Amino acid sequence: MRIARHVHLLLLASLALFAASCTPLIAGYSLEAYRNATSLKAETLAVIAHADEPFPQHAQEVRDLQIRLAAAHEFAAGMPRNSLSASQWQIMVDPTRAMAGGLLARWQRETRLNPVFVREQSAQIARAFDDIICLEANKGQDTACQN
Amino acid sequence: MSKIDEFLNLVKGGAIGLATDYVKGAKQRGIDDMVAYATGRKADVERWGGMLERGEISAEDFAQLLQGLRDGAEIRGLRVAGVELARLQRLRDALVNLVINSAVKTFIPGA
Repeated sequence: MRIARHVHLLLLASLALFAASCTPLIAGYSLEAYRNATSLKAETLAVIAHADEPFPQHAQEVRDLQIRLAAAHEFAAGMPRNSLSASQWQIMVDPTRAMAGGLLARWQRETRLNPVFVREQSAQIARAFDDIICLEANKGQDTACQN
Repeated sequence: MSKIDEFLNLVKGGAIGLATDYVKGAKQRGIDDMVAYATGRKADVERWGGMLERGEISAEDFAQLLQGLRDGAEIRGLRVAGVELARLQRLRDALVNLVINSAVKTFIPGA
């Protein structure tokens, strides 16, 4: 009788624990978010490699890239409990900051940029994309990250 | 030992192991990540200073690189926080499984 009462209590405690465990602390791994980050890293670096050339020659591809970057940000921001990844994307796309969005805006404003500066900024942007990719990968399982 | 004591001991032993591993690792990982980041960026700033002096980049280029350094550090910090949050979630899941498995093992041995 006493053991039966304990079993009931334990079952209730287990149910409470199970219910608590159903509320995630952070969004789960998303293959689409991971693909967004990896493909946009390659695409962004390919486009900004031309930032030492006149902007009008690349205006269309820059506009297309800006739309895809904004879509990736919106995708991240639309997932519940994903504010950390969404904040990373916000910094990446913001034209007033100094990541991809800022570099593209400055290229448009100044028409062409110094190739030495472009090389250095590209390295910063690549590293920031790696951080976005690293966070997404680690939502699924412990994953070693670059740098 | 009563069944309930047996159950509590199982949970306690498992939980201490899980939580200790997590807490020790989390602190060190966070420190290592940010120290490695700062060390790498120190070399960047020195290189940019030389470029500015030699006229290879403008003052505006230099300023944007510094702002990029700050923005990159913010993105890295978000990564460190998110990775630890994901690990914390896995720890929580492991603890819940530990409690449920210990209960089953203690009270329903044949299951």
